[in-house]
Parts: sequence; structure tokens; C-alpha cells
Amino acid sequence: MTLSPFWGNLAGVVTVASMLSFIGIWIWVWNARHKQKYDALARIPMDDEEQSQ
Amino acid sequence: MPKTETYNDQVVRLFLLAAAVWGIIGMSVGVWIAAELAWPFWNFDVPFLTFSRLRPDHTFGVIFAFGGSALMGTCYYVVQRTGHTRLAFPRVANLTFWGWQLICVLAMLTMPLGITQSKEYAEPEWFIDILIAVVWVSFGFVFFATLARRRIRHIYVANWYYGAFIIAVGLLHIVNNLAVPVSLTKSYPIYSGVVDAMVQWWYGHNAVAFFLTAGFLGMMYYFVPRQAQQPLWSYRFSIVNFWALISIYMWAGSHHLMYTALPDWVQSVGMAFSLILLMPSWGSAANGLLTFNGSWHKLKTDPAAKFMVIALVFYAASTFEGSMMAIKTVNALSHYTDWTVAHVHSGSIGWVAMITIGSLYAMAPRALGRPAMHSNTAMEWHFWLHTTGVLLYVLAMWVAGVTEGLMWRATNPDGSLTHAFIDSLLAIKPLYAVRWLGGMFVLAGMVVMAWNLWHTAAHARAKLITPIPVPIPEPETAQVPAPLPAMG
Repeated sequence: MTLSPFWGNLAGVVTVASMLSFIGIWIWVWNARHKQKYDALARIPMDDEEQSQ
Repeated sequence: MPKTETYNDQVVRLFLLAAAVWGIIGMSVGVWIAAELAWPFWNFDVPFLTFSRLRPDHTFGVIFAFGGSALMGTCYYVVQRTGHTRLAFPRVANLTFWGWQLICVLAMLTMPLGITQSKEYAEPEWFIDILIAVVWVSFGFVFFATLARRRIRHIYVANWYYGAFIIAVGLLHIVNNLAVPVSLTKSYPIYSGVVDAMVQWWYGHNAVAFFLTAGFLGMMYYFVPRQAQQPLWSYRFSIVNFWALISIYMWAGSHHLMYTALPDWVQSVGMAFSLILLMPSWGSAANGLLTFNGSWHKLKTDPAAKFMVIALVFYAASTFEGSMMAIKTVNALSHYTDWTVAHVHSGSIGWVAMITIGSLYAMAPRALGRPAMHSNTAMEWHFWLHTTGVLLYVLAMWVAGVTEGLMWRATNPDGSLTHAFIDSLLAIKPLYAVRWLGGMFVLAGMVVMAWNLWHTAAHARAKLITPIPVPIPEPETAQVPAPLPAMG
């Protein structure tokens, strides 16, 4: 049984789209405008301990 | 005086207790069946005590009863702390606790009687599956309703993992358990043949992915920075790893069905995705370990931190091993041997149990209203018992697995098999005794933890503790007139 070319083309399109979204996520999260927000978020787990002291 | 909002730690404490109890039960069954493999007389020729009947009790007991209780308890704790809000719908939250315990008891009682779907990690019959679906949806309802009322605008990364865990496990559970009941105790799946096998391992592998990985990564991303008292090493890296992990894991399940009737290209897809999966797995492990930068000295004095660091090392090691075992040529050697058992247990007792124990030790004093655990020495004992146990277990099963793989594939010049099957069993018998001993060490550690938790909970039992107030930030006063924009 052979698959129709449609599935091969779809696999190619999905691969390229996945790759682009993956690269897009990297670009998006490394965008400097998020830095301050992320730095604050990275400290959230430390809140709990600080209040107990 | 305005009424202060407090965290709901009542349901967290219940899950904490349940995790300690189920941990001991699930691991006791594990040690028992390990003894049966080394010394078969331990089944006493009683049907419900045979390995085949008790093995699902071990896996269900440790994964869903122990792991599930720990996950739900920490999830309720973390979503409140990272959102600065009280748990939504406390009655539904209590329902999820009692419902989950009922499910665990029903499953553990019915499976040894032979009431089973015979699907690995999805053995409970249809009426228990419906209960699981109801409780799971309620759990998701409480979690997402709490997220919706958070006071911190951005959703902390641990919640993304807990959210993915809740959504994916619900989806996997419902799809894999679609069945036609023919009586109260018997049902037939709607799938057949290789489709049934593929759906089962799509479920089975993603139970590893979303129950045993995503859920426990949620725990890791909260409790590791908290215990290290350092900000998460890279928040943005955690986001990349999240999306990579959840999008890749879904496609790796077919590596459980290599060299079977499954179409070859589906096996290759599973192998390729399993190899790529190494990247986000190591990404999270690295992020957790590097968070300890600046706090490595804590390892000298803090057993909870030690549990977390060794858990992350085992996470990195077992995910590397898993990717390698998904390569077809490696799988040809490892499949159906005890190497698989070694891999599963380095993941489960190494990564999952150790991150859970570390997190429970971090969370318990806070949830039980104490400054610290009752005994630091007992925690230290637990760490060494557990580490010794997991190393004995995993090393024994690695050696046994490679021995089996090599003996089974050995052929004489005329093409006949060099060894009879019984020869491989005799060769690994001493290793089965070592595996039992390793399990005993791990179980002993869990008993020590239960003792320690019981004493830490003395004030909670006597109702001497007060609920912890939610930190609600003062609203920023609006400046009238508005400040002028800063000028160069």
C-alpha cells in the first residue's frame, strides 16, 4: 500500500510549520521586553519561605 | 476589621497523609512481588497473591495512589501560592480527595480478584474508569477556577505543567478506556488488534509523559527554586522546554511496539520523536540543577535539597536512557528484558519518587504549621536508605537485562539458540534477590518518612495551627494629576 502524495505534502507543511513555531517561541521568549516580567516570575517560589521568617 | 483571606491547606494536608500511606502500601506490594520473582513460594498458590494479580496493585498503588495524591496535594498548594489566592470551590476540592481515595481503594481491591481490562496502567474496569473521569474533571475544575481568580497576572510556569498534566491525563484516560460493558465486572474495548495496541501505548507512554513527567515537573519548577532559595535559573528557557516537551511527547508512544505488527513507519516516527525528546528533558533537568547555583552549600545540611538534586540527576539519566532504548537496534537488545524494568524504576524511584519526597519535605512543615520537619536526622536516614535502594535496584536490573538480551540473541554456527530460556532465568536469579533488597531499602525509607510526618503533624492534629494569610498587595494609589513622562 502506498500513501497518496497528499499526505507527504501535508507532512512537509506540518514539519515546516512546527519548525517555524519552535523558532518563533525562542524569539518571542528572548524578546527583551519580557525580561523584567520573567525576572519577577522566577522569584515567585521564594515568596512562601520569606513570609514564614 | 476586614476579613483576611487565608490559604486552604486543609485539603493539602489530607493529600499529604494519603501520599504517605499509599507510598507504603504501593511499595510493600512491590517488595512482595519482587520476592515472588526471586522465591516463587511467596505466592502460596493463592490466585489473588500471584505476581500477575498483584503487579497491577503495585503499579496503580505507586503511580496513581501515591503519585496521584502527591500531585493533587502539591498542585493545590502551588496554584494558591503562585497566584496569591485561596483555592476555589473548597467542597469540590474535598470531593476530589475522597473521590480519589475511593477510586484507589476500589481499584486495589478489584484487580487482584481478576476484575481487569488487562491494559497496562489502565487495568481498572469500566465503573472505576467512569469515577476516575468524574473526579479528574472536578480536579481540573478546581485548578482552573483557582487560576482564574489569581492575583498575579502571569501564570507561573509550574501551573502550565500542572495544567497540561490535568488536560492530557483526562484526554488519555477517556480515549484509552472507551469500552462496551457487558456486565458490572467485564467490558470490551472498542478498539481491536494493532489499533488497540497503539491506542494503549499512546496512553501508556503519555501516562509517563503527562502524569509522571509534566505533573512532577510542575512540582520541580515550584519546589526547587523554593528550597534552593534562588530564582529559577532561566524562566524563558522553561517556557521553551514546556512547549517542546508537550508537543513532542505525544508522538513517542509507538516505541513500545517495535518489531511488532505495527506499521514500520509508525515505529520510526516513535523512534525519531523519542530521540528529539531528549532535548526538552535535559532542558528542564539543567534548569532545575542550575537553579541550585549559589546554594550548593545547602546540600550539606538540607536532605530535601539532596532529594531534589539526585532526582534531577536521575531525570537526566533516565530520559537519556529512554531515548537510547527507543533506537530500533538498541531496542532489539533491550525489549522484553529487565533492562526495561531498570529504566522504568530509575525514572520512578529515582526521578519521580525523589522529587516527590523532596517536595513533600519542603511543603509539609509549611502546610502543617511548623518551622521545620520533626527530625532532620530521620530525613537524612531516609535519603541514604532511598539512594542505596534505588542504586541496588537499578544496577541489578541493568545487569539482569543485558544478560537476558545477550543470552536470548546468542546463536550457534548452525543457527540454533545457544541458551534455553531457563538458563537466562537461572543466570539472573541472584540479581532478583538484589532487586528485592533494593526495594526493601526504599520501603524502609518511606516508613521513616511516614514516622517523621506523623510527628510533624502533631500540632495540626491538635488543631493548634492557624491558616496562613494570602499576601494581598496594597492597591497602587492613583496619582492625580498623572505624573509627567520622564524627559531626556
